[in-house]
Amino acid sequence: MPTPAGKQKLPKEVMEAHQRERVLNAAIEVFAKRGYPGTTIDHLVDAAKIGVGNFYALFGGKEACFIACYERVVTETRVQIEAAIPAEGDWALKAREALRALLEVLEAEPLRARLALVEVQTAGPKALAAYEGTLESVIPLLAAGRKESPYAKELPQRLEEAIAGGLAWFLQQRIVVGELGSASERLPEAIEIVIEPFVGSKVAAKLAK
Amino acid sequence: MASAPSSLEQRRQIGAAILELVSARGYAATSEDDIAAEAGVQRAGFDRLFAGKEDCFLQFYDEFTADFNRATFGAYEGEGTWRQRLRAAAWAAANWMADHPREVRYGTIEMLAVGEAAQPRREATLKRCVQMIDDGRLELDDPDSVSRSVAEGALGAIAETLMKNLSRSAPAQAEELVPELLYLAVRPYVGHDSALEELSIGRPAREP
Repeated sequence: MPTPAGKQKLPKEVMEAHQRERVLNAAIEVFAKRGYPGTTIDHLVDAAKIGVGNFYALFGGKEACFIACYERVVTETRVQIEAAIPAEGDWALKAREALRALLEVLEAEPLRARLALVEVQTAGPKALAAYEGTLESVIPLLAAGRKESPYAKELPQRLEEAIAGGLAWFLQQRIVVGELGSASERLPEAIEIVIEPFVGSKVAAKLAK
Repeated sequence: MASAPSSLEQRRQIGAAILELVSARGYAATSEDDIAAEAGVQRAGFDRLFAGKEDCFLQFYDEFTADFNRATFGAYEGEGTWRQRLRAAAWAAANWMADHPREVRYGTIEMLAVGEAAQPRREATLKRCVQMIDDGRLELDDPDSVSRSVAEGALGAIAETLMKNLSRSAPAQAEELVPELLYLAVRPYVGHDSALEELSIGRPAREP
């Protein structure tokens, strides 16, 4: 006899995805609070209320779990930033709105900020490679600024790479000493670091107002 | 019978051992026993000299950093304009890093794994580096027209570029990197046109 539709069990994949979701949310908090080196599998399974066997079935280990957390934070942040970029306007304006959205996420989600900018550096070579990959993914977005730059072709070849790293490092240092501050305080500084090198100080000062 | 090595000699051996182990397998995967074994000293000898792994790591971090600081800030204290001194410091730092790749990894990536106790030490060196760049404000008619965060961003750009370069299989040469990073550091203070000069100034001759 077929089971009535309403009582059907959820498919295995749906259950797993749901469980994974729950564990990731708990794990992000644990990693951010304890630091990667100070986090054990016990901490993770306790916080996520999941069995050790299930945990390993889902992630395979602490490092893989961390990387899944990192990727989730980055993906969700990226979605929020993309939603904030206006369809119309020049590069500098779009870049400012992207920076504002980034800073607002970091301010609203200090644990995620810590995970994605600080803890990622201590979580081993794979995590570090993922972090470098994130910085690299920003390079083409910055390079678009060259089209609006009066300095265009004279700019150093590695400018974008350096700027992406510079901003990440600047924010990371603030988080480490515990004073990231508000998005509105950081925005003019982020504009100086990211946008000014392309458009010059006058345009940057206008954008920062 | 040969006498046991002096504490000073043991300490030196432990320094070489922790540098080797931490740069090869990472801070987290290195234990007190590993360090003692690699150094060829008794565990009791290690315990007499150090409170534990973290204490040992930090003591040698301080030594490596002091050596880096002497080279870099020593060059900055020399004669010349701000830009000339900053350039001298940049090349001194680049030369030191090229000569000490394991110490660089130890003091940067691995230092992050140590946690809270490492933080104030890191800050001290970074503050001095930021200060060298931020001194560029004194070149301006209105020193308050550029904020200190610009120097922090420039140092961050330098630090991240160097770190990334370290992890590359085919790292870029200092000859390529240093002029571009100097451009970035002086640009906020001297403007784009003047900063471009950095790109055509090569490596100064190294002292023998």
